[in-house]
Amino acid sequence: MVINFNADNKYLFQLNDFAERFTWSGQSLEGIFDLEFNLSSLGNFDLEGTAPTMETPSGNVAGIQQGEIIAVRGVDYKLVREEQDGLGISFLILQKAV
Amino acid sequence: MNASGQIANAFKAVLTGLTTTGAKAYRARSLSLGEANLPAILINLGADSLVEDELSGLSDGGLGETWVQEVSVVALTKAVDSEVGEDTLLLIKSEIEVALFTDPTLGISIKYLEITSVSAPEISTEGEKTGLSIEINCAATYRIKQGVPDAIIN
Repeated sequence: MVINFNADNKYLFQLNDFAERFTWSGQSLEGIFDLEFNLSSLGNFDLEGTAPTMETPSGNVAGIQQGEIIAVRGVDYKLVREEQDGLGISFLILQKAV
Repeated sequence: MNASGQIANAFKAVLTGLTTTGAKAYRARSLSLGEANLPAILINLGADSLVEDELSGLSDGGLGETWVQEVSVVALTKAVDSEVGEDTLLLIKSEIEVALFTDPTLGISIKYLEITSVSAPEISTEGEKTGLSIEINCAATYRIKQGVPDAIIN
């Protein structure tokens, strides 16, 4: 039996639940945006900050490239990397864009 | 206070109030740094080594010792644009050098003050902004009378 993860995944990204809209390449898409506390190491020292990520169905952002811009909550972020979970979900690791 | 502590404090005093980092110069800081604390300078003591071929007799009959105290000065910043961040680090580096050598005695009779090396800028891409640091390694040569570690002498 083949499980259609794509069909299931769409229920994870309902706008009346945790998802919100973001834009990429002129498209308005749905994803779950997180801005969690982050501690980054530089040598022997730790810098505090936040780590923005966008979780979205991989099909939403097929072909997205490092450095491309997504906009969410009125802020532009550039893609550092895309991490796919192998089940149809992509985690977009983001940094603030200039 | 031990001569090494006096040297660390002298570095902190000289490096406090730079245009780029202002009051954010910290000695032996163990706490993480938030963005409100950046850009910043961290001052940490390194090894303290005796220069054996510079032992000398003092006029009071005591033995004069020459020591070299290593001091690490780290500049840290965060920036949206990593090129801008790197330029900020290099500006801080210039300000540190000017501040240290305005009076190389650091006001505490340091005999020789040198910048011995500067690390390559380190970049962290974790998080919303790029974190950057650069380490400036210094050596402060000073003299004490043997058995009197709290008094730096000329």
